[in-house]
Amino acid sequence: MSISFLSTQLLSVENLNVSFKTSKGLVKANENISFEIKEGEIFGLIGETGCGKTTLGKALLRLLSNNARIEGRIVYRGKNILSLSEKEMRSLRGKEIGIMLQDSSICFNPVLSVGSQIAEIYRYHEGMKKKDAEKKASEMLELVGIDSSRKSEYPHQFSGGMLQRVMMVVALALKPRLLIADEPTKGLDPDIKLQILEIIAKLVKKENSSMLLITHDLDVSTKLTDRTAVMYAGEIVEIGKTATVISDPKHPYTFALLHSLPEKGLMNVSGQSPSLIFPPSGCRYHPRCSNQLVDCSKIHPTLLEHVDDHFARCLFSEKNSKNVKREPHLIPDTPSPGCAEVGIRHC
Amino acid sequence: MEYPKASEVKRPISENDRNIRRISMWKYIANRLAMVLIVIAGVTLVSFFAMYLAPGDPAELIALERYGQDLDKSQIESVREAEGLDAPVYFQYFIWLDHLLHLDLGRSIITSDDVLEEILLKLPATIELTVAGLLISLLIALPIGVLSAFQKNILLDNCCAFFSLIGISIPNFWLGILLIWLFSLTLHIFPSYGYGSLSHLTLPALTLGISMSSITARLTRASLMEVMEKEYILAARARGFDEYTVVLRHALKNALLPVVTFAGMQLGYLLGGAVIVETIFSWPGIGKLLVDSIFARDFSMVQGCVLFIAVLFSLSSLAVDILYAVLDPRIRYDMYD
Amino acid sequence: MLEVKDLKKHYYSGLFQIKVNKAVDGVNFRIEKGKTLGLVGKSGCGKSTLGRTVLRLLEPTEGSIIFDGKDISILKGHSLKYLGTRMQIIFQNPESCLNPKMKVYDIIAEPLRLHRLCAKDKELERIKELIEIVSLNEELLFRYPKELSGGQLQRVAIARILSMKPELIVADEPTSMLDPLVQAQILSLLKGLQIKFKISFLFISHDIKVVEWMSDEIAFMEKGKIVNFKIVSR
Repeated sequence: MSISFLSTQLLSVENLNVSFKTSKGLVKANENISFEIKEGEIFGLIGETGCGKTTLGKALLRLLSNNARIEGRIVYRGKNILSLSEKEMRSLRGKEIGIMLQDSSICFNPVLSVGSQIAEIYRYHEGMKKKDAEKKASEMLELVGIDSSRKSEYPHQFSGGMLQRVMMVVALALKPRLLIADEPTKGLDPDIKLQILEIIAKLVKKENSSMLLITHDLDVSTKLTDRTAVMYAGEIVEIGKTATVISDPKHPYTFALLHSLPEKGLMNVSGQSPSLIFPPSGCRYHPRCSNQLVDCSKIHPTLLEHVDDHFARCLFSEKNSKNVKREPHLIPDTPSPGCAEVGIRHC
Repeated sequence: MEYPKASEVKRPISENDRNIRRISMWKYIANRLAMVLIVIAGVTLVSFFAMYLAPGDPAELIALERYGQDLDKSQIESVREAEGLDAPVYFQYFIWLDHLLHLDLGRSIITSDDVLEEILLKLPATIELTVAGLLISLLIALPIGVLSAFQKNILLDNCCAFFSLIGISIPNFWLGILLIWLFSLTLHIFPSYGYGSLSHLTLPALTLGISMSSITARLTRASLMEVMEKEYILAARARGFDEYTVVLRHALKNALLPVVTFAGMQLGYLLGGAVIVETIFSWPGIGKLLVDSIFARDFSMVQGCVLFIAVLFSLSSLAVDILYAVLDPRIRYDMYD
Repeated sequence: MLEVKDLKKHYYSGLFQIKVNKAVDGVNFRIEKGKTLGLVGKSGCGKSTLGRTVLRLLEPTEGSIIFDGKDISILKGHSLKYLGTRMQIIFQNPESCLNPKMKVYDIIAEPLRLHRLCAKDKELERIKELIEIVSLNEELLFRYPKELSGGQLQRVAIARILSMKPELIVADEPTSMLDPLVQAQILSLLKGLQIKFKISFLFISHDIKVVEWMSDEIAFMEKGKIVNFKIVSR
């Protein structure tokens, strides 16, 4: 592998394919996804609605619906998540890997009080007594700035920003090593958005945990993450250190995303995200791309290293930068031993 | 002046963005109770005037009962005067209402028994049958509903669906007769009619229970399956809970909300007397009393029964409302932006 | 074009209607023809209520709304209906305001038919013209809203509005549910329309950067009142 860091790897995703059988055809939500998250790292996953980023987040914890088909390997601290039993999986969820699902307003049980939903986690996983668990729940609420007197209230009495914070408490309750946060700031006012992000980053750093931040908000990703992957139509098109990806994007889609913001001149790219059932031939972005080459519609580019640790899936950039290393991203030289044992999993 | 940057805006983080008003449970109950009273007032109007509009002259009926077939006009008129039937209608209504407020429902035209006393005499039997029937139906429906909601085994699910379909399609009286044939005539286990002991109760309660359980089971299944698709169920799984906790703690309470409503409506309906079942099994309940008095044209008895049933129905729906509010906190709140 | 004077919208609640929620509390502003006034504020500050009150979708409690020289806050009946074609609104979530049971064609044609804006035989022609303006593909005309993406739905909503040739459009967070690329598309579409048809905009958003890009002047709203105005220089 081309990436060599001193810090150890916590999670690595290798050639992950996720597809859904639907009445209209096979939806290929994730294709050949490979990336890794190191300990203490905040990793950003950027993409638009329907590009498969939420599917990826749920796939990591095997929370997909019954019609999903997962192939590849998800290795968490040496264990392949896809070959674990349901019981082993349960001991991983919440304790080792916490997840903040998208849209906190529908992620809480409407008939249970907020406090009891937090306390429940401690009672279930740590065998705490009811009183202790409730005390702990109050402490956690105070930690994210919610008055603990409100713990007996119900989810619908909380505002969007507050629920988002409770969601955070729930995901971080058992101090997981990895937090998956799916659009934690969607639909919030800018100032509340910043507060939420500050709190998340503080809590994650405090426990030296890692985080996978899934978002469509470039601002958020730039401010928070160490490394970033950009997803388009089910695949990763660019991956690298956030600073270099933002300052010198190698993929025209990343460039477009960055410059589509009003303060950056509101660059207008025509067309819309392709269907995941019939993706375009060749490079998936080519119908919308302004740097299109003749080959773009025929050849499906691979994710190649352009600069140190900065990979992109683009023929144009390949042609125009001299020092492209012909090394593809994160594909093991020899088939890893785990592959055969896993194969395909119907979730 | 520049608009302050987002980072500079500091406001108390726990500030609530919306104004949400909490109605206390007592206030909620008081609200509902007030509505029940309005409904009952409406019912008194309807039950009084419905009888007034019904064909047949009450004075003539009473006179018939008192003096036999050979009536002359003066006898009818004297009855009319004696019973206050010559007064204007609204006046009669208020007198009737006045009596009602003193818990006086009048006397039966036919038997001269006190109507209220007669009803209260029949009430225990009806309550007994209702509670037993409802219990049996829930005991059958809930396990079947939950099982078939989670059944990956299509055969079992289909069996449940088949059972429910049969339960819905078979009319009460036919099911009752089948049960009598099986358990009394063939097996001689339970008596086919009568009142007094547990074995008398078994067949009518079973008839009611089975026929009600089919719909309740389907409702439980549908509602549970819907709830299991909700995002908070996924969120509960993501917290590492086992299926047992997910279903029992997170899904079932939500899934039972529509079932409670349905069972509550059934309760109100049954308290009014399961007319057919009571008739088949000669069960001395309110339903049978009502039917008998209708056939006997016992105006005041019918009036009393209808009123009593309506009140029971309103009260049971009040009970459902309260139970609903206990189960679902969202009902108790009034939200505005 | 539009001038709002001391506009108030209060909500009364409680048993005796004593509790007052002053959603809009004395607002003054004016929008020139073909210009955009941006309205920025946090959620719950009353900016959406203001947008709706200006269009008379909500009844103002007090104050006057002068549109094209006429006080429309007192209009009733037929003249209010006619006014409806001249002033329009774009909502945040197009999905919830387009009838899911109607095809795109009928959604766009409905106002043409209701207000008798075009002859029956010219309807198809007019609709094709409209969807070309918002750059929608013709094949989408006979699909249902649920088959379209958020950006496409917002274009349908805009085409529907344009069919009435409005002079003022209130855009209530039209892009806050959209992805950045789609947001850029919709914003440039709106701006293009404004230049082409000389439409005035009241552009409501909580995103100051979007509003800065769209507007000629920005009003900042807090707790029902406009606290500040700012001219955008280019």
